[in-house]
Amino acid sequence: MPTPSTRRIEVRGDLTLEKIHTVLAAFADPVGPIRKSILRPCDTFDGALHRAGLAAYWTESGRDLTWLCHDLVTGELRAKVELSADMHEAERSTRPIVFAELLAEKPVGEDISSVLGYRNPLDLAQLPVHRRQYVRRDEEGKMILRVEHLHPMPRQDQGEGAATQLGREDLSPWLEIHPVRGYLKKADEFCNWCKRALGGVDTDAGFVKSLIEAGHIKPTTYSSKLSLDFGPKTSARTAAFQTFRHLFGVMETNFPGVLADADSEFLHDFRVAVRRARAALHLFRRELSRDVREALSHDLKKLGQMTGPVRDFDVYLLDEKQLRGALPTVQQHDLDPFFDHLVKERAKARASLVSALETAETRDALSHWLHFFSSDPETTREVDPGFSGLAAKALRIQLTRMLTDGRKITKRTPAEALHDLRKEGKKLRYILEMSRSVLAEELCSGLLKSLKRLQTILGNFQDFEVQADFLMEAADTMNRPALKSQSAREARTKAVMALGVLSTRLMEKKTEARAQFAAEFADFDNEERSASLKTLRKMEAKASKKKTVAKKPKTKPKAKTKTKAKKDRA
Amino acid sequence: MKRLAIYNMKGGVGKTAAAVNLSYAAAQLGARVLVWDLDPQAATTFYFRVKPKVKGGGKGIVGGKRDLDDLIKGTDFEGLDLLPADLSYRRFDQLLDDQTDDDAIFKLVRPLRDDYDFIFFDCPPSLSRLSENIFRAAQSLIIPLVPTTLSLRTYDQVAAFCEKKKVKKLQMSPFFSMVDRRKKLHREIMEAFPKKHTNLLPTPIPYASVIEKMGVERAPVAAFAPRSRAAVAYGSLWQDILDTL
Repeated sequence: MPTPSTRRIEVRGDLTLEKIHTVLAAFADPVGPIRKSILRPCDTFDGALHRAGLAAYWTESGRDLTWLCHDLVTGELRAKVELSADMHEAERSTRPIVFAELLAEKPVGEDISSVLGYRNPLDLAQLPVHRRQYVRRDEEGKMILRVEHLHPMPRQDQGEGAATQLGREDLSPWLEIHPVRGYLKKADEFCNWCKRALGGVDTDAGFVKSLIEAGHIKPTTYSSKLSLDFGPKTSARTAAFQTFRHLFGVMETNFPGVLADADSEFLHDFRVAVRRARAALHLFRRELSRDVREALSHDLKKLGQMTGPVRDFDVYLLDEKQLRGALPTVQQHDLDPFFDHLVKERAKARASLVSALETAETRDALSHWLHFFSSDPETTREVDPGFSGLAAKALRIQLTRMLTDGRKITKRTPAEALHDLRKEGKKLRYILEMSRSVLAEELCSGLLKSLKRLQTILGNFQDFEVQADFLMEAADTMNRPALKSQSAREARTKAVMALGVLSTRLMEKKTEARAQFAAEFADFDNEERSASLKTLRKMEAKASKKKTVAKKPKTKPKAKTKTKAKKDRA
Repeated sequence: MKRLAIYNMKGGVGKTAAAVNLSYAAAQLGARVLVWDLDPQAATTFYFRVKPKVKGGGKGIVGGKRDLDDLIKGTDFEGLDLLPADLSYRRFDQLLDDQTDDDAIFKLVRPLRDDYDFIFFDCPPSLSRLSENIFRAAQSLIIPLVPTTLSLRTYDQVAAFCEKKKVKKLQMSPFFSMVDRRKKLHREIMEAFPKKHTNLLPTPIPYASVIEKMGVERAPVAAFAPRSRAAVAYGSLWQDILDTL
């Protein structure tokens, strides 16, 4: 149903609310009283909406909360979601919410939900406004257009930790004129009259665009992707320092979001950065002193362990729809007590995570490593192999190991071998991602594509088993406490039975994944891989000829020993 | 896009009231709805406060000189649009006679299929070339029946006509309209009719002064008297229709 585009007119900044009302009321009927409302421009943490050419904001009036998303250029409305502020806050505080899922239920929001993914729109700024609606009718009493007058209030004090406060000083009052279909000429006439009477000017898009253009809000440019750009002459130690600096930067950037639990992707990105850093530690082991390696390994292991439990619960809660969908329709609601149990357990795990993250030890460790890797990467080795040679060698060894281990797997090989192969695959992928800028693009993209397919099968094989075990453990835990009410006991019995069915389904899927492995590995272990190995060997040989003799450091490296680092933090 | 025609060859049975109130009920549930007022009396157009004026008239539409898209007017209600009628529609039959096939109306609305979830044809009371076109364009014929002998007779005539013309895909859904339960005849017919016609929609629309008041308010009943018996009945009748689609 095509809706005519809203026209927006910015009026003279010196006009008061009353003055504009007097002018408008002469030609349109006011509808309802003046309302106070807060407009909150928002975007995902990684600026996905802005990148997709969209501008979104929340409007909050009393307990009503509406999310509106417009085309950044044309101002056309692309999605609208209404929910109460109470519900929004309550849901956000107990479990991970995927805003895109809310949106996907609306007919208009399918493409926008794919833009958002698992990220939620977060406030970029707050703009309190007075707003009043008017309706203009023809002689039949028929509504021919709606007008909304939005009048920014004076800027308020910046609250601690709050989004940027904007106000009258930053944006002039504006009118939004919503034409009714079939009455566009009347709308044009009214717009022209408004411009004359109120000294207004047309603006081509919404107020969010105006705020961006005026520099009052800045779309975020964060990306969790490894965007490391090394040249052919980059030394291995320089590459190591830059890689770790990037990864600890990602951890630091996501740290406040993990604490605030604004969406599950903060924790996800944090954990991916930790895992990548562990892979980088292996890759660059010879570029760091033993003390540094040990201290770093200790800290990364700890970060991985403390963030694991919440992420595990997130995975099940985010998968709720799929898990319920795997059951017959009559049994889907039987899982309610299970998900209630997960929400409670997640809350406990989150409390532990927050207290662990907020300790001085964790904060100091993160800032220490970020500071350490931001310093000058003075070399510890007399001969620096150069990053391209190091990367080629590491990649060749890892790929050879994977191919050798994979070829040994038969139908009778125990599951552990496949799990180990998955770990090797992960290492290979991380090395590949970290060294992409010094490798040939065809080698990287071909290997990465093929590896991803194989890893999906291996991931399914392991995940289905882990999930099936988790469900049975959860069933066991849920069965323990004594319940007084008969209905609660019945619900729990039904939930345990549903978990049993679900667990069986997952084990069936695991068997399917195992059956797919042989074909997928054969596809991975092809001539292209042999060619990749050859290319990598050539690169190594070339690099070894060009080995650069690094300058001897004037001073000793600043790396701290494990005990020294601990002392400093204390 | 589901195409529904509110039709009875007899006049004064509540067709226009049904078209206005059912389309409003559909739009209130979030559907994108278009009502095409095909009656030259333009009563639906009047109820929605739109001027009874069609640029180029019926001739412009049937002759293909005007796109329906350009003639659509938004109503005061979100999600509900109207294609108004005017007096030129009195020649619709004549204009359709000049066409080679009976699918002219279907071909006219086909380009709107992605824009709307439902299109309601508010038909004039006759059995004519326009009616034949409507029977071929619509998927469902919603037939208001006043529980009287004559009204039931017209239903049988329409059913027989459709059978003769082999309009097989058309689903016929009659419902009782302007029901006055104080009348013995109404009660008797309402008891006997469903035994022979299992396709009867279960919700009857009462005879109510609030429906007549639509002419004063110029709006659907639920917009100015949402708790009235008639408003509730139309809401429930829309659910019955949804169940049949």
